[in-house]
Amino acid sequence: MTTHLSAERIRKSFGEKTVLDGVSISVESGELMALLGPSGCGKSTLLRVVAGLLPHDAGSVRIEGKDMENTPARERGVGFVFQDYALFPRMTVVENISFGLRIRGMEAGERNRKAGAMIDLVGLSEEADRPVDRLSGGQRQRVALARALAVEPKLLLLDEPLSALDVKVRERLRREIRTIQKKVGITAVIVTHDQEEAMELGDRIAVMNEGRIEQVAPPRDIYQEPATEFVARFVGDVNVLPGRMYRGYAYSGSLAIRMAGDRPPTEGSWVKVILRPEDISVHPPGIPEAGQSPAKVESVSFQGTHLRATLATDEGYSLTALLLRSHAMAGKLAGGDEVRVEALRGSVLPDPFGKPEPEYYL
Amino acid sequence: MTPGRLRNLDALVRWSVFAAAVGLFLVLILLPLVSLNSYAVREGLGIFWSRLREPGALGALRLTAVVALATTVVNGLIGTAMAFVLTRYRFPGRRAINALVDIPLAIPTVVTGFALLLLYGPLGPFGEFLGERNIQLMFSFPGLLLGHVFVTFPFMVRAVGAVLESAPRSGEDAARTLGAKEWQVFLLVTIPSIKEGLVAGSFLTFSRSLGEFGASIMVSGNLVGRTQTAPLYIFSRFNTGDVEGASAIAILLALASFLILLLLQFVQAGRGMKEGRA
Repeated sequence: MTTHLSAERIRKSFGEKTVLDGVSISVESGELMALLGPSGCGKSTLLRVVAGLLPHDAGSVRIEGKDMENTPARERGVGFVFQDYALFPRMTVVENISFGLRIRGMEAGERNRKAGAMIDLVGLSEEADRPVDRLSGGQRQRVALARALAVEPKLLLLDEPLSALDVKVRERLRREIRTIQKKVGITAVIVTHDQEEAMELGDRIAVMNEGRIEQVAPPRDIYQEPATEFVARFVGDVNVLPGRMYRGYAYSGSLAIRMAGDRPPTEGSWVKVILRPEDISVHPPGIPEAGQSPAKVESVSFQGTHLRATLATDEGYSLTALLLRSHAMAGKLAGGDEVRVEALRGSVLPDPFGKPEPEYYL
Repeated sequence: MTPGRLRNLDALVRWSVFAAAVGLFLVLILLPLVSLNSYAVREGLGIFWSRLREPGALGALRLTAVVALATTVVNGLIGTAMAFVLTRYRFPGRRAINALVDIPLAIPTVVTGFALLLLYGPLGPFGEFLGERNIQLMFSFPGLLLGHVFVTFPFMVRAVGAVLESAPRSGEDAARTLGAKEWQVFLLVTIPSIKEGLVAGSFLTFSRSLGEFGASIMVSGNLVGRTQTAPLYIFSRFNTGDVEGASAIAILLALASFLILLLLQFVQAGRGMKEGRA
């Protein structure tokens, strides 16, 4: 694998507001990188800077090792798919897709052959000669994808391509984008605020917050070993508890957390314990074993495949736990019940200002 | 009062509003137009034709059409440029300029004409300078054009500006990433996207220019066969007592305006239907 796209220390401000605060990212050849973050975190701005659609204040963009400083968008070889499709109205599907080829002066026969292949790729053969104004949202975005790929770009950038579509269409198109990207073998970056989308599409995910990249890692690592509390909270549901390291375990009160990572923080240091709700195991009341903690159920809500229980440990920590519907206690668990909880796995973050709460425990 | 009587009162109020609105429309708008017809043809169509064939008449109509067309072209260019500047550029004083664009609508057109006379006329600062070089702007076609461009200036700016404001710009960015040079982006994407604004602005400018009177009479000198537009011709004819002659041209002018209005409705309805099907 070689680095295909690299952006280094990109800075960009709009007036007083700093949108990109020294962002660095690199994408490997053939990789699909998902740029995930809340709205306003700068992810779309970064994408536009890479495409050359927006000038940046400082830093450098390299595509295939070549510095893009003085290369305008039209010469960067970058395909761009927009959230609002950005199709050319009053043109047919075929005309839209062959726009880039026409601009390049490709002769008609070659152009039609090429556009036809693209139309087949995105499955719009039936609609080839229809004006794009008459297509559904999902079809329009397919046209946009085909149009971007038709000119054989070196890099494909997708700016929230699915967020204007309804759920069903979104999920299907998501899978198709993934398939097409792998089939064409193009390096791609997709911007999204939807963590599910990022997980399913990205070979790796870069989580952005307030103009900075918080973590770049494969989806599994992002979820299981978030590098910052922001990542932990933004991706999925999470319990964040104060804790302290002791003999390779992190302890939040009597609750012991076995570490998923291989480099545990130093003995005795304060940490933030990151626990996913599905990693908390609920047992019937009884004498707690080592590492378990007695707790009381505060509320239970039924969510179809699982139950969501809010618990409070006897030491005062609040926890959310998920129980599968098949769980032995799922049928009868109710608010006020006494239970024991156990943490099956978790991860920790160093907490320089750490001080376990509640105070009375130490 | 019982609910039933209340409902009757309600119906009465609604009916009177309806009757008043329609009645006033008939009296205020339609009646004058009807009278126009009756006057022109009272003496028979023969008189109508002979009045039309008088030397000044057709010349005035032709001049009106030419001035309106030229005004539309000129404002199509500067008005569109201005709309771009106001919507796409951010600079100090933008809001002030934006507000000033509408001034021609607020100033009485006669005052506009008078101001142009003072500036470009024989006694004005520009006029003197031009006069020494044997260029005469006032009492000629260029002067007339200048007046019409001034009076109709806001129409194109506003019509194109509204479209530019609402249209997404991602299409232009898409063209750029597809390899289009800036002039190709402008010709192939931007211009087609503001077509509706250009059409609407052109219709408004053209029809406003057709009927322009105040500024025209000041700057044109009302020279028969040279700078006399149709509205000026109508006024002159009426003043000399030739009511039939005035009516003949007036009918044609009214008819032209009506056709333009109809055409605009047709164009807009066509577009609405196209969008409706999307």
